[in-house]
Amino acid sequence: MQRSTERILTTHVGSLARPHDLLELMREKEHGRPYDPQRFAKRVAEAVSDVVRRQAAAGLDVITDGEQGKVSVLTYVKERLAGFDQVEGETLLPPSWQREIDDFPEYYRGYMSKYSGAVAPMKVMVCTGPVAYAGQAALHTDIENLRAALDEVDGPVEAFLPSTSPSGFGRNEYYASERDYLAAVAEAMREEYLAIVESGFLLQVDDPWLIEILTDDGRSDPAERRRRAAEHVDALNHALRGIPEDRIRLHTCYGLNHGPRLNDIPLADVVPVMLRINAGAYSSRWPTRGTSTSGGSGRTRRCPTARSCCRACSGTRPTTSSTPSSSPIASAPTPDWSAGKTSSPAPTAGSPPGPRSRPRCTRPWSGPSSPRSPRAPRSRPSACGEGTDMTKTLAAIVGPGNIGTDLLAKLQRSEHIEVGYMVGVIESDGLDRARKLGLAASAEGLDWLLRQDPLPRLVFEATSAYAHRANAPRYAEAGLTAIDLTPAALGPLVCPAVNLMAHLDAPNVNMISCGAQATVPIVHAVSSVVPVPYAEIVASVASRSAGPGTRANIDEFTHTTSRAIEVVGGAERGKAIIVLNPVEPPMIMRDTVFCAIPADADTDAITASIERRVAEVQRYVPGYTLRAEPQYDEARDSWHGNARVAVFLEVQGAGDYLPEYAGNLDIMTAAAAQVGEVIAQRRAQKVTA
Amino acid sequence: MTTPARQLRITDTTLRDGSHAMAHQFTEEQVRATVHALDAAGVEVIEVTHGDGLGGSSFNYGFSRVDEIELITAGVQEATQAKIAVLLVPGIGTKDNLRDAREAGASVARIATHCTEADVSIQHFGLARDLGMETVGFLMMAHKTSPAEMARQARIMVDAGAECVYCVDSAGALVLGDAQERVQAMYAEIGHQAEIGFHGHQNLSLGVANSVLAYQHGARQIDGALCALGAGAGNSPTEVLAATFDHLGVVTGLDVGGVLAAAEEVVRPFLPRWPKMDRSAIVQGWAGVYSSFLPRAGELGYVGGQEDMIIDIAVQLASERELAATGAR
Repeated sequence: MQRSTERILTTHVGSLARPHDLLELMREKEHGRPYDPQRFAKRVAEAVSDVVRRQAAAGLDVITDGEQGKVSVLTYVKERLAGFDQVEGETLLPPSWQREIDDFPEYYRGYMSKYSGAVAPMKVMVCTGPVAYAGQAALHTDIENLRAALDEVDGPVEAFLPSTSPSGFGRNEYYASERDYLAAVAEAMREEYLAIVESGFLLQVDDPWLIEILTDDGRSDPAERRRRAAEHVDALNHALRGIPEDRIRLHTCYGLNHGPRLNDIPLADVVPVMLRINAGAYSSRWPTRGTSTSGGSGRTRRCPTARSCCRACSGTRPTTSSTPSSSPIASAPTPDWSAGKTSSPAPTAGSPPGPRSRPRCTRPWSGPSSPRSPRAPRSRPSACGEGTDMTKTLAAIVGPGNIGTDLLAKLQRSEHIEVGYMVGVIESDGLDRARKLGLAASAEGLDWLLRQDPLPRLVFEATSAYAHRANAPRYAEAGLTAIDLTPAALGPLVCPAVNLMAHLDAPNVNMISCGAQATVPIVHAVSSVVPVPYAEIVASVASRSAGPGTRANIDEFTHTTSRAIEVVGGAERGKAIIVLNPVEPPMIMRDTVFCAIPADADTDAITASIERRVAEVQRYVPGYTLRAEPQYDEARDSWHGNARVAVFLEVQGAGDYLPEYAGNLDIMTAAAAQVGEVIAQRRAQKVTA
Repeated sequence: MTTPARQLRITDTTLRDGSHAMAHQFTEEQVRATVHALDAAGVEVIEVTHGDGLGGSSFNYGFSRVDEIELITAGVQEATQAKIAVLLVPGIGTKDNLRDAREAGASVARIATHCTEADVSIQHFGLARDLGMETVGFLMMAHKTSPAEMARQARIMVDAGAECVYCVDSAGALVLGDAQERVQAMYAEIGHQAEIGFHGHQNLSLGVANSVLAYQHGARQIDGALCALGAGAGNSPTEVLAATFDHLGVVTGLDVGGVLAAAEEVVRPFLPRWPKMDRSAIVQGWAGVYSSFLPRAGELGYVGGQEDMIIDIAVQLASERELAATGAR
């Protein structure tokens, strides 16, 4: 879990507004009327992508899926738990509401009446049989949607998925005691908790009912309320057993409405109970009205070691912040955090030592620390087995998507590289394909890779700039050379036909952009004959080959490519233009390079240089061709007295895995494979020398 | 006497779309004179940018004679009531360009994409809003997609922060009902949240007629250029729009006499040629091809911005001709 060690990280509690048309679909679904499940699934995925993009754009650090596919924070579990019936027309009124309703009857009458027009009909879940978890598919979809959405954005440092605590959504009519019922529900929910943590996301346990249990409803005995709260906490902790606290955040709140609330119990009564729950961070929405929450003092409090507090004030626009672990919480009207608690609770027996006092830098969704013993690799890379070609360098591909899979196809033809590992963060077709080819493949992220023996020497990053920025320090620490296909650009910009030899020993090299791989060799071919005061490239790619990440960050392409034209291509000033063309069938990638050259430039020498360079690129990108001879234009005043050479290129993909029109993607994987090949070859020479 | 409320806002793009016809050679004096005349005639928004938007000065689209930021600055200085707008085509211009334009005093950001690619504009709308600019989306080559898709793409722009989205008939290829249906579909999708705009071209001489239809179906912003200044057959002429809407009793706030004077006395003297519906212009509208592309480009499905393909097509045609001449296949 990321902590606010450098700056204050921002997050929120989970639910974000759903698009209207999705609510309409949800309404049909919830009322049991016919609806289109495929459309629903598609709209949920789109809505998740949208809210993730918006959270990233808003600058939030720790984000989530906004619960787009869920009808509510608690009752979504009705589709995920077996053993319940639903009774329509009944509501489970939170106890803390009754006094407010008594105090403000007109307001709450209006508030409640709104529910009659709400998305879901009023229903209560009644337990009538053994409880079991049945939501694997829905949960898998949640995880996949969030992961896909996160792959398209940069910015957030971590992500979480909410899941409900065992209390608050149902009534027991099956188990002999409330305790047995709670234990059964908790055990079932544990499956969801584990899957979320294993997916690499933080688990947020939503526990609004904790405060309801503690609320003085004017009828129950305080000792009885405390006993029930303890039972609830025990059940929840049992469900969380073995999961590192560092992967869990707990959220509770005073009611879910924005209505007047005068009767809330003091926060000081809640906090000691809340802190018994084994989590690494706590968030709570507190009414801003001081008296009910102040606990009467105003002393400075201290949060238990290695725990974080995310504070939000209630209101329509909560202001949220989280404080660094173990730092004093200085805001005045807070309760005594240390009351009745001097150290964090001991983990349940059998749990691994949690990283509770050592804030770790984890990658949100690409490298989970598994709470259980990791699945054994299905096979060992042949590089350490029998019949191994010891001269080959062992490599891993991180990111089993289209790019990673296409790269694997290319590297399988390599003389010097043996790809032993394919690493993902979720089971996918890409991992399956890799396994069929005999690789050890895992959905357990970088943690898994770094546990392998032998470790790879080379790692190809085919994830996202965001993921690479998180992974790069860990590669460096483990001594792996990283070849980065993302726009992260942490290491030197490398174009194999231009400057690879200068960066053979760099621990991390960046493959720039597709436009740069296609055009920078040409700019360099010209600038190695004559000075090039200005070079300009136009890359035209099929819309279909430009993913949402590229689209949302089109300036990133322009900037990185312009910089490469200067730094790698040798032009004094570079400009890049990208055009996305939606024509069907998709167009093959086209690139045009214009270079300003001196009026008296030796055009034959330039043409010869360009042709040589095209041949060099063709060695690793066979579909790279000149559409025509370089075209020369006489010097013009409007070109500051320079003449111009124009070069027209086409890049057809090899069709290894990606379609042929996607030459823009092919040239990236081909260039990365070439970089790996040369580095591996050199390593082999060093070994034999 | 009170001034009747304006019912339609005319944006003049002589100094942006007209830049194509000027081969991007506008001088500061021409910009000052044009802005002065338009401002005096009551035009509220005047667009000043390279023809291909901010950062368009290039080999591919033609270099500007005067840096566009200098021209924008001149426009801002000259305007007393009018806002200066800039066009930005993501992929050509960048957020840095927009910041520079804002710094120079531009206050309306018009973000343009091909009609099916609105999602590349999201970050630019975000920045424009952050910079406190009025935001307008520009869905170009509107004839290339359906009314329903135009509505979907307009929605993306509105969600990204556009306060108005234009249906842009870049090729002058929309024929009456085609324009009407697109505006209607966009209005149904975003009309309750944002305005609709229409930008017409004269290839099939329908720029003004399409603009009237657009207004009648909900559009509240219409583009024009003095003397139709623009590539090929040019834009809907601002002076004709002013006269036509005045005749229809639609209040635009423009002084028709002042706009006519701006066209006749300010722009006409520096016109390189009257934009006209010559064969190539009509073929463009007929085949639905952007700017000076030939029918060949229509077959290949090129979009706005791919001017580099002109040389390429020319080279390919030349080699085909050579092959034909030698009898080879």
